[in-house]
Amino acid sequence: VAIKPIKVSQLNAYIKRILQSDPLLGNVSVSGEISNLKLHGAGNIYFTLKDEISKVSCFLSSEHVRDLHYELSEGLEIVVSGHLYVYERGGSYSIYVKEIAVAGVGNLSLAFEQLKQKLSKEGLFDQSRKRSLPTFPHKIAVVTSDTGAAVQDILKTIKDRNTYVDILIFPCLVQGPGAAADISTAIDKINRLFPEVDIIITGRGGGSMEELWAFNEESVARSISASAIPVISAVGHETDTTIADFVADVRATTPTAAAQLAVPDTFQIKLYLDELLLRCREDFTNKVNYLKMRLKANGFESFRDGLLNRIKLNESKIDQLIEGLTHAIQIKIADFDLIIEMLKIELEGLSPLSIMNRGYGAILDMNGKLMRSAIPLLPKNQINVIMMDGQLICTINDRILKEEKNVGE
Amino acid sequence: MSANKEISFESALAKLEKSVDEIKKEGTTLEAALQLFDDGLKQYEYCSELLSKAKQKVMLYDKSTAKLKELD
Repeated sequence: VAIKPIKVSQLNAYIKRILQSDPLLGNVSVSGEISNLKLHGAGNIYFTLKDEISKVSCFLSSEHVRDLHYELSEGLEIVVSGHLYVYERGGSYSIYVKEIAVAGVGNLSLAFEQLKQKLSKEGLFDQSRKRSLPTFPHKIAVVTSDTGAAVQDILKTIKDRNTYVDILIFPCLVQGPGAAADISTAIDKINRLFPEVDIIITGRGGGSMEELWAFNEESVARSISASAIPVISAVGHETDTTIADFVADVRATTPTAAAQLAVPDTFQIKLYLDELLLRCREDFTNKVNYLKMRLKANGFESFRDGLLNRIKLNESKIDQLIEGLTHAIQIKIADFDLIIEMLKIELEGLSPLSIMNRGYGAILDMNGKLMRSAIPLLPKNQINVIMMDGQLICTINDRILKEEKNVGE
Repeated sequence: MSANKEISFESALAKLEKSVDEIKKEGTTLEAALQLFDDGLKQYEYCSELLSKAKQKVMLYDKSTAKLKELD
């Protein structure tokens, strides 16, 4: 059966109708690698998806580009979802992409890494940019959902620790579309409207990576880094790390931890103050006592005391000398006593009385002179014989000398 | 609100700490020590007063009216 020739446009219209009415092609997912990536001025993106053998054109409209958290790049393995679209004029077809999923690491992980690298290159994470928190804040602003657990945790922790600091709650969305913009705006607004705020805490309670995503958005990171007021990030649990954590001046692992970091414990401060005052008092008293002591050491009293001490010292020296002297004299006296005693004994041996005791007598002449010889004595002479117990006055009858006797014989 | 205070809590506390350190020093004269003690006492009273004025306020920013509303 011969078919009547048709026009090119009729062919393309027919193909379009066939292809675009196919239920499978109307909702298709295709995996492949990005090549020929082109960004159009209007925000649309064109690229070719290819595998080892074939390729197909893809189109991503600007409204869907906005939903991407990351940037597409050449060679990136992705899965596109959308429908087939036929260009009648060119006689070509392409996939009209509505969603893109990154194969392997996943979209969010890729987006995270990309933004992290970008901001890191810009120096937004530099340690030198981080400001230290004031030790005694007067006002804390909290940027989080006013219905979440985070705000309750923060309020409770601050109130428990600190009865002084004012708290300003800035409610905002913390997940879903618009959350990032909300957080970012809140931080900007606080800087503009309440510049007296000392610290901003921004964060939320735990959740999935998707739920925490707002804190991985560039706008939030930009607002944190632009904030003149120091920012503490407190997103999710300890294991969750977001871009906001990298940019913030201080990263707290949880909202509760953020509150602890932000405000000092006023009770502890009171204790510390009391201790300081006590030390001040003690040090002052010590100083005065020390000076008093030094004054005393150089005053009249000490002079007098010194003098008295010297007098006492000399007195005791004298006492000692006297005592020594007395002792020496006593020894001397004892020595003499002994000598006298000995002399007395010796003398007694020599005494005529001791001889008389044995029956001898001493003969004295008339003049009382002791006679040692018979020669001067003549008959008729009177002599005195002294004996132990008396005297004999005698008259000599005769005298016989030893020689005369011998002659007479 | 903290800007129009004459001195901040931090600087008062730092002064008190300095007083304690200075009094202790051997070279400090009695007159100076007396002055330091006096100063220290003043700082202590200032800090204590600041702390004891338990006037903590919790406020909520209302986006729609752009006004602050006090809670509690």
